[in-house]
Amino acid sequence: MAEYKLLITGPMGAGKTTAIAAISDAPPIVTDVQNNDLSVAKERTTVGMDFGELTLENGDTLRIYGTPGQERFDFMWEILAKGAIGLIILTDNSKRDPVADLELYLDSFSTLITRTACVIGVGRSETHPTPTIDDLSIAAQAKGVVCPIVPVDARERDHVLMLVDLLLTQLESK
Amino acid sequence: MSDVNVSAAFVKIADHHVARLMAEVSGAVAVVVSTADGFEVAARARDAAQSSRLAAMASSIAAIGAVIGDETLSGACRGIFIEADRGQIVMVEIRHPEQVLILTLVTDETALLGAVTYSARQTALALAKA
Repeated sequence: MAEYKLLITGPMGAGKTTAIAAISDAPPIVTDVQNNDLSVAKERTTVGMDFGELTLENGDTLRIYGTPGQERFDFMWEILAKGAIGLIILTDNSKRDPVADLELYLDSFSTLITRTACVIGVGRSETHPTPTIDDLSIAAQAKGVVCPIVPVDARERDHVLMLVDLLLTQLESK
Repeated sequence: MSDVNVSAAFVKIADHHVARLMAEVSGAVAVVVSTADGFEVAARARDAAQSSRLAAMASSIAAIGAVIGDETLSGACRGIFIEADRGQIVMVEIRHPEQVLILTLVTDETALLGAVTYSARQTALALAKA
């Protein structure tokens, strides 16, 4: 049985840790600590990485890593991107500038995206309808990235599995 | 540092200890006290641009060390030691009652790991009571 590494990234509070917990076969490994950034209303934040495992129907295993969201941890982004077969970007429509957030991660992971595949999950779009999927798609295309962009709730296992399926489907067609 | 949840009084004390360590530890290249989530609280470094980066890296490494301690049933991670070709890096937890912080001490190859570790631990203990 094969093992593959998949990476989830996105801004602080987008739901990366939650998404991994939603699909991991076993309780995920988390490296969250007390959040001291008073500009973000969040009690704890990931500073190292998250890790979960998901066994697929064919017996293959996905090792799923989540990055810290803040740019000051970009050295971890590089470390965690090594060997990944694809990237899921979770955005958060309730943030101040979700388009800029998306652009940051598209730029930072451009090497990985070019080499593999990418899927974008948009969180909290039911309460914050803008930017629209079209707006985000235009921003991605401007960065040379054409990939599925779908609304998700990171707490919902089926939603996160859909992102994984979309990613794997893209990889199969490569 | 701005808008971070650490008291001004603690920052002042931490700054004093950091300056003292930088002056007293032979071969010291950088000393940083940071929050567990990677914000610089006090720092001295030969390369000032290095300190905020060190604060973030110490946060990640300490968090991964904590998980490894848990997973191996070894208990809470008290410190991490890196022996590199041209220096040493010692990171120790500051177990302050209000929140855990991290003290990072970087030295060149002339420093003795035992002495560096002792100095870092003593400072961490002092800051834990600050």
